[in-house]
Amino acid sequence: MQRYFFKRFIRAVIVVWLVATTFFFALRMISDPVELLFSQSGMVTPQEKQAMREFLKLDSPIHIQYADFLFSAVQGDMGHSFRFRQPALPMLLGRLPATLELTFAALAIAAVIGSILGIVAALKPHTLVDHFTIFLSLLGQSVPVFWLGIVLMLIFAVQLGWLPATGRGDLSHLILPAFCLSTYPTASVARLLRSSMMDVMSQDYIRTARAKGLPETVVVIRHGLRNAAIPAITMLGLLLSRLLGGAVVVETIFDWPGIGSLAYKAISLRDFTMVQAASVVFGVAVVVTNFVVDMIYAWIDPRIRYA
Amino acid sequence: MSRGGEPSPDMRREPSGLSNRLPRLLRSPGALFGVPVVLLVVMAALFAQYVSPHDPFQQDLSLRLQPPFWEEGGEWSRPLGTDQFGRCLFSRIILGGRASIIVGVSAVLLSALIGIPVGLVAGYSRGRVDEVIMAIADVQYSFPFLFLALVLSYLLGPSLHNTVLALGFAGWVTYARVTRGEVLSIRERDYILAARAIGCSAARTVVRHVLPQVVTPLIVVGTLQTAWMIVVEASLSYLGMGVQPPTPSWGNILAEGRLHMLNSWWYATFPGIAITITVLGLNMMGDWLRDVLDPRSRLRSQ
Repeated sequence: MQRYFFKRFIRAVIVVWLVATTFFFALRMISDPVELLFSQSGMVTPQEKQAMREFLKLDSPIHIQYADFLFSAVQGDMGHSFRFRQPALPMLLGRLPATLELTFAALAIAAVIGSILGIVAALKPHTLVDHFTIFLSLLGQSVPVFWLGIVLMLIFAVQLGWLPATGRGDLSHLILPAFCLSTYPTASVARLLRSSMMDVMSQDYIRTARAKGLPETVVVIRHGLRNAAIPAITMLGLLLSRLLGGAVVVETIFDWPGIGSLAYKAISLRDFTMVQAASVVFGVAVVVTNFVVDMIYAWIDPRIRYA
Repeated sequence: MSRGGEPSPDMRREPSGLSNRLPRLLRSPGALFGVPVVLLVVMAALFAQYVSPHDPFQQDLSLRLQPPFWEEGGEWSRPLGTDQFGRCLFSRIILGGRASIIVGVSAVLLSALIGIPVGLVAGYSRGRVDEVIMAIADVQYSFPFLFLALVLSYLLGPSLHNTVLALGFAGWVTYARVTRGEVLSIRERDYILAARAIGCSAARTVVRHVLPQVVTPLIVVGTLQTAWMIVVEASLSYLGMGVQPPTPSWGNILAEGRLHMLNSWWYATFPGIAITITVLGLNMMGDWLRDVLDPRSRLRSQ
């Protein structure tokens, strides 16, 4: 396990370095950050541009910039944001808990509701309940999150006044954004679990369990779900990156103070430093979650750690 | 993943010929809803100028924020009401569909154009090349797609053209992965060995003998990806980083409508319904195409 852990850790570090390097060069070479920054302003003198170039440390040769970038990044310095007038990395990290809260709430909803829908559909295949679940999950995979967010806000916050429309606070603030973010993963879990559950329930060991006289709930949960859940867990791991992307939209709509809404703000303000820092933070977030998922697998399934 | 060998019990039970499955396939929801919806949206987008009752750009401030026809103050000639400048919402949504279809289809083609050759090379050569390519692909695959697309359109500048480029370059990984997966199993078959034995070069083998076998799963993936690209385009346009007004796109109409949602519910509602129905149609059509073209994949994926 230790060796496996170490190997994975080295890999994770390389991936972070790769992501950071890719963004470092892409953000500088695809187009000029200073021109982008001033693209929405009116007349800007060459002197002002030069001053900005120096402020953003874009005036030295690129290999020196790169060395400087890596050296500072390792020390936790990702530059100073011009728009927000503060260091970029602490600002992003300060907003990380809000994003974690939102994404984990969405994951939890997806796991619970998705499982219930999937199991119910699988136990009553080709009935009205099943067809309804299939339709619901197809719909959940198709509805655009930002539209759903607006509609839910209009109904539950404006018309009914049951839930707050925006911001972060107690649990009531979390409900609408977390539900919105969870629609796609919930639907995916329901669809996958339905088919894997149907597959598992036709296996011989389920017949054996029933023949032993076990109660149906035990058969379904202990013998069925435990085996059917494995592919669904794998998929939840894959869906995490999609959730982080979705968080950019959901956080922006609900004014949720996480890294997603900050990243979007940075992009729309053409804040070069913040975009660069956010890219690295997203990269690290993905790598860390993949690393954790890998460790969980290795812990569950011993075959993996010795492979 | 292997496709050869013993047929599974399901395959024996069900005759695999298309003609035997056709009656059931034609009655499935994918055929009854998915395909017609997609055709309708594509037709409306192609012939937008003939279908729309009004010029989607013509402003008339005396008609601003008119409700749909069934509500008090609405009229038949502008069935879904008007927007903040008094433009016919129905006509704008039809033209917005054109942006979605153009971006969705072109982005998918661009991704495929990059991803398929990469996947062919990776899968056929295996070894080091494959390892490096797939390591890069895995990293990009696990990176949040929407954020990547946002950064790319920040770099390229927001426009319809650049949205296609951003989504196309961000999306190649899916095709590379699917192609590689298929190639890995195809390259072990006897007819590939035979082609090599009679002296076909590697390039010829890949293009003439491997590629045609990969096309079917790629058509299915492409259909499902078009749905996803349409959602991402709408998200980008909604966030102001995609198609720019006054050119209508479902995303930017929705963004404008959001500002008026308290007194003009229809403004943000109808473009959202248009996206949902189109994406639903494409998703159902993708699932249906998989059943029609590649029935074994269902079994493989389970």
